[in-house]
Amino acid sequence: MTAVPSDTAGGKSAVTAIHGEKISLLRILGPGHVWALGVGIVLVGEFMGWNFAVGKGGAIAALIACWTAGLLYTCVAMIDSEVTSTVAAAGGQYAQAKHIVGPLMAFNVGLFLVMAYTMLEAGNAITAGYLIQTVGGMAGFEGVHDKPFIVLTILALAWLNYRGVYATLTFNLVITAIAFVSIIVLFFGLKPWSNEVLHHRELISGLPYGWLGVIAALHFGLWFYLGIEGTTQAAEEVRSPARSLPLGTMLGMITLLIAATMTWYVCVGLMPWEYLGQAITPLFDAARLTDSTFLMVFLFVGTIFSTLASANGCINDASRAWFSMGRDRYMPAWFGAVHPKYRTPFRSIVFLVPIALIFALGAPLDQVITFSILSGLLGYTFMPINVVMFRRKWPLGTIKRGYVHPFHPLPALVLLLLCAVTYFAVFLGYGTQLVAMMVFYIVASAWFAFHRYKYVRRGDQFTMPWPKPRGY
Amino acid sequence: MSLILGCALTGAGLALVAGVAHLEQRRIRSRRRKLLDACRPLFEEARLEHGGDGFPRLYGRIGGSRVTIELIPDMMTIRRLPQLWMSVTLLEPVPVESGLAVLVRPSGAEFFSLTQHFHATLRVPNGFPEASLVRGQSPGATKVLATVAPAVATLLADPKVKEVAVTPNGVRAIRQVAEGRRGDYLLLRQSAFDVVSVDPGAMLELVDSLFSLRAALVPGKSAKPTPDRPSVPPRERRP
Repeated sequence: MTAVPSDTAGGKSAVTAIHGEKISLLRILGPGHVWALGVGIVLVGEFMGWNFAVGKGGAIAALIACWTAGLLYTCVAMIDSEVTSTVAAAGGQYAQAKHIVGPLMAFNVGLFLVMAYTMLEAGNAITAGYLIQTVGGMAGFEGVHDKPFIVLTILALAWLNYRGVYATLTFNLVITAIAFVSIIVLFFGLKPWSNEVLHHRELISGLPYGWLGVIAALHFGLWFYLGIEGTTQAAEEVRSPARSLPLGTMLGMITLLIAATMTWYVCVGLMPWEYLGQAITPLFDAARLTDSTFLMVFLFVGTIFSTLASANGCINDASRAWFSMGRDRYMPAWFGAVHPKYRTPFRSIVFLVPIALIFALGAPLDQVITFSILSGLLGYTFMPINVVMFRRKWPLGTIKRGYVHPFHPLPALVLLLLCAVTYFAVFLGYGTQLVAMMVFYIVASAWFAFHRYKYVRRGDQFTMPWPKPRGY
Repeated sequence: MSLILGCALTGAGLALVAGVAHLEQRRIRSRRRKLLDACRPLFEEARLEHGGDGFPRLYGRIGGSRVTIELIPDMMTIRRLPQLWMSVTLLEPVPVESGLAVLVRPSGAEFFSLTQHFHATLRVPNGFPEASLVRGQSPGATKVLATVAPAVATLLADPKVKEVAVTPNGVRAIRQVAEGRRGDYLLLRQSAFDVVSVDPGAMLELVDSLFSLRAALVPGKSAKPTPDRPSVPPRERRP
């Protein structure tokens, strides 16, 4: 289809793709999309969180983990693109689970999404609060505490989402551009072509914990990309455009890989790995070390903007996932209500606020991030199982696929292997959190299977016009 | 001193950005409020109202029959771009014992759909899109479905039509008006639509289809609004 801009809608010229008509790559990967991939969704991972990988295995281990996680996400992009382009029902992995595995899996995938986004929101609020406390202290306000700002951040963004008062395009472009440009400015401000400011030779110390440290670092290596699979957004009534999906995600990953490598390069050249590995705001700290007020203010603004933007997206996505579970009666239908005036899932938004507050106020940043990563990791573990079942139940040729990923089942096996290694990595540093999270999901699954499932409208779960799966 | 200057500049910058955001917010709300202005002259006794989000609702009569148009922004489904729906309702009683609704490509999150209130799932007739959900108020809706199936199938041939519903109070169709810009949604979950005015021709086409649907249920009723209805430029029909 040729995308024709139009000022009127409803007519033939409206910009909408209908029923599998081709959409050009240019349309899919427009400037806004590329910005979004790099900035709006996961760039916050450059401003905080990634550096815990340095603490696990040193600077070199963090870089290896970053690139290995890139391989994991390549598999995610390939697998997710095939299933998303075939399951036309909107709803991402949640809808895929409903159609391919079953309600219990869909319930868990919904929970993974809610927990991953809510924990990320809490992590963003912690970072914003810490940053304000730090800058307040530098400005002479020694008594500034981070907790009120954490609460304020979560409540204010939840209120905005409740009201559905969305920021405007200019505002968005300005704040995301500032966040993105701040990394570029920092990079060139530190003169990476000379040893004047950066001291890699003195500060990079190999692998302090050996190869075990590299495996341990893989846990936080995922942080660079967490959520990028969300870019496979479907349009209403349209099969997601085939090959553009993996290409779009891969382009985003390359953007992030470059940004991540730049971030890593400037930070490890400025700070000893022992400090960097536990910093809350590594880029802002890097700017402080330059003694440049301009860079410091710029990185302060960039960090604040990226965390707020990310937290806003998290509240949006978590509440929609919870809302969908309410609509499907996986959770009480009460959560499936829409505000009569603002048309937002207001009950879901309000319900998730105290959960975000409990984690933001009660747990340190690395643990909150670990909870988020674990939920994301569980979602990635679902993908290989999902695609193997998908190919077995509906082999190639039995239904129309928008995209067929190559080398099946190799990507699924590699993804499963990398997920298994990452679980081990989490176990090495955060065994208690790993066990707690698993117990939570097992108890929740038991509650669903033995209690909640009787309320689910089983006939409504499968909406795709596919033939009966093989073997049924 | 330089830190204080930096903080002052940051504050000024933030205030500037906030000011720009406020002005643009007002401009967007004002633009939303005008979305149905071009449709208004086609109505008799027209009355325009606006929701809390600024999107308009238009009440009035076409061809002597009560018609309501509502614009519904929808960004409830995860991993999907925001949608702007136009709901057109012909509020004239029809002699059916049971209501029914046909929803195309259901995701479960269609808060605006009547299917959520009906509990009898009916068999999808031939000629409907494969991914349809047909629900009736009672199993008796099967008879109603048999009567309206050809007219509903004609409506659903337009792939932008999301739902068609028949109840004793009237008939309704929901059609896609616009889809949110991908970049804006991915950036910060914004629902920005490239539309400044709903096409009156598309609206009247939907009203015509609803009159045809009603005519299938009420023999003797015209399948078109009164012939003296305001004319709009002819539009090419979708294949």
